[in-house]
Amino acid sequence: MARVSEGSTIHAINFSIGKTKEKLENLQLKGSNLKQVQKPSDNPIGNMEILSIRSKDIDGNQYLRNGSVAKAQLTYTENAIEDLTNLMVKAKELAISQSSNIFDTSVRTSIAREVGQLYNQALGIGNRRIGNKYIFAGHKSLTKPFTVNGEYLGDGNQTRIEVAKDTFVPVTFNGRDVFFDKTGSPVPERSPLDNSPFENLSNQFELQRPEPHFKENEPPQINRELASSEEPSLPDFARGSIFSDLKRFENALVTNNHEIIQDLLPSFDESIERLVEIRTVIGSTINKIDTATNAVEHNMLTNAEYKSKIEDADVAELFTDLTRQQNVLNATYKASAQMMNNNLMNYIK
Amino acid sequence: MGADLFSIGRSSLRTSKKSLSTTSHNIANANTDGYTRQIVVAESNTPIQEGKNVLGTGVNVKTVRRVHDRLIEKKLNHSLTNDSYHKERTNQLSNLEEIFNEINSDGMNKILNRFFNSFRELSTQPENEVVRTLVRDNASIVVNDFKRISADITAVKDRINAEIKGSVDAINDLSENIGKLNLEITRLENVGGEAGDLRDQREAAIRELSKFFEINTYEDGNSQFVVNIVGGGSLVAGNSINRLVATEFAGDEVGSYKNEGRVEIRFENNKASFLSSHIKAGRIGAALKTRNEELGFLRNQLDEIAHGLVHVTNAIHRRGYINKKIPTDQNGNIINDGRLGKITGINFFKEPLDLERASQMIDLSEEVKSDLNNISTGLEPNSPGDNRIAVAISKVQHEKILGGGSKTFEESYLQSIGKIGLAASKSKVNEEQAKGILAQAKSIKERLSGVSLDEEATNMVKYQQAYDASAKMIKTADEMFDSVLGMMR
Repeated sequence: MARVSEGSTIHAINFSIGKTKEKLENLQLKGSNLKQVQKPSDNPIGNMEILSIRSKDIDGNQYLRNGSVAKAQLTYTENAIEDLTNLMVKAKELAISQSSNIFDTSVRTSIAREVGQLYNQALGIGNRRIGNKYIFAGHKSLTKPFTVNGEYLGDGNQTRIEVAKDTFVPVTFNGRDVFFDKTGSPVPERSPLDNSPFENLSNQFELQRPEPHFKENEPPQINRELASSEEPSLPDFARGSIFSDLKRFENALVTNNHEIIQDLLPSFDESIERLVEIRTVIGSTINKIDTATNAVEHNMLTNAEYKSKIEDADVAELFTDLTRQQNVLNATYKASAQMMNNNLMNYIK
Repeated sequence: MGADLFSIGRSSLRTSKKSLSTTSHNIANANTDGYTRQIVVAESNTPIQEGKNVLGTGVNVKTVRRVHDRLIEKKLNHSLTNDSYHKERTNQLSNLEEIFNEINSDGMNKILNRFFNSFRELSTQPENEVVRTLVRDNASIVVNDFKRISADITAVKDRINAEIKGSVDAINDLSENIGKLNLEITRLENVGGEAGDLRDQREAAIRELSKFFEINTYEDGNSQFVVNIVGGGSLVAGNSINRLVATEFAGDEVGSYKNEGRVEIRFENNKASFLSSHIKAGRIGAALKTRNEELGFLRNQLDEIAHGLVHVTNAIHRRGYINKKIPTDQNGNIINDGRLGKITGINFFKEPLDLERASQMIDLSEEVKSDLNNISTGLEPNSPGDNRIAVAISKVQHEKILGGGSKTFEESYLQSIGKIGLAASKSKVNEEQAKGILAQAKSIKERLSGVSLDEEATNMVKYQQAYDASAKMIKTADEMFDSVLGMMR
């Protein structure tokens, strides 16, 4: 028979009450914000996963925002190019109607005026802005890209942004690609990550290069900077452009030179074709953004579900436990009271 | 004969009274912490022989014994050491993990992530001044959070050091107390006195000491009571004590800033060696382990992350050009007349930055602080739409840069928290277990040495009745004596 002393009884009572209360307190805390993980030690691995998922969530939201910015810019650019295409179609129609040597001087003069209008419209399109940003200026987005003479002041760069992890899409098309003939010079594009000084930091450290912006089956002309650098480089002024074509057309109408007008027809066709191709590229880029955005949203949803599994408490289980633990505590109190209030002294009179 | 009856009766009265007073002492101390119940050991007196008969001569109190077991006491002390080790570990690790707890609030992980995403935002509109503000604000939050964590870690370290210092004072007091008690006990017991209560006091002091570190006690050949720190050396021998001192070190004294303000324990009379490197158990063992291992680890990790972030961000940022119009000649060459200050090669974060104190000293560069347009986005001058620098910095987020190219910043940070979380959760389990073992050890001791009021009540009645009976016996002897005297008349 084990001997029971006052001290051992008190210890036993304290220990059991303390333990029950501690469990109850933990459950109460979980009940107050319905989270299973309150601090890293509650579930060290789970905590890491929760934080990592939260990061992915913030990334995801940023990608979605980037995606909508990209879409807005591309849509705006597409509208501009659509307007430009319509303008060129109009120019082509005029050119066809005026390509024979049978003409009426007064008609030609008024058409010349109309072409002058088209020229100005094209210039307006070339200098369109979103906010304070010129859409056809390449990286020189705060410089008006086209002068009145159709001279290009922008550069041949293209801005790309990330719409899903490691998925970059072009969001601008520079004036050189849009308004000038294809036989241009490849502008050497330096990646921000080429020859960077931090490549030596660690052999492993190499930043992700933005992927080539178009796949093989997509029109290659936007990809000029990736094309062979053997191609002879021509300065802008030596190349044909929508502006120079329109100018020549206007001059030809004024000087009644139908041969030049005939000469211009293939050039107009080429321009229209080029514009249509760019619009195709924009369309497929918007599709790409949609696909990427859907994937990001889907991932976020999956992650949220997974996070909830780790982080959130099972409400039914929690409250069952809470009730049970409360009963345990009551029972402990009752039993302890019995133990504490009784001893032989009470019976010796 | 009658005289013998009287003396037997008297011895019985005395013994019963002594037993009752011991019972009373036990009841009085029923709730005294560390009290060991006492029992009177009675012994029958040496009988005398009368002719063929042997006659008893009554009873005497041989000794008052403490009901006590050295092994149980030792086990209790060990459990106390173990319990206070895990309690302290859990306490310190909980403090630490709270610094990194971002379940219900924003922490470094989120802040670092926002920093990279603000560059990602900037990459969509590199011309925008407002977004540059966002980038700079997020970067300042990163800087502040590094400093906050660094300061919090230092605060935990300071607390541990202060605790070690305080413990040393408490230990010295206890040692002195034990030394004095040793002296008293020896003196009392040499003259045959009862030193039970003093022994209780000494055991209580030993138990207090056991909370600080593992100790070992024994009585040596000269019946001197010795207290040793396990693995450390002798703290008390008889009434001579070996005092401890806590020494605080300046930063450079131990070779690095990390050890600034570090407190180590030594013996006062042997300053050459650190006692602290031998203490592995108890509250001090736990404090030292947490300070030397987890705190050191966290600080290194944090410094590495801060240093890596500054270094890589700057390396990319320096390649960019300021967001201002830079004059050029006809061929596009830059004319730098110095009026714009630096136009490229600008650091985003302040450099140089010492790896050892990176998390403490991290800051934005003066250029970025003073002018938002010094935040570069473009790889080429005069290209406000160029977002390549911003893109590159945002991509740093997912690059494996730390740990020799094996971990991203986030992975490294999360691993550090994971490690602390694991240590804290392990320590909690251990604490729970140690608490159970301690409760058991206490209960075993209490069962043996504790006072039971029921038992004392029985004893009280028993001794009172014995006392009454003895008194009756004396009365009977008296009457017998009277009868004999009456015969004379």
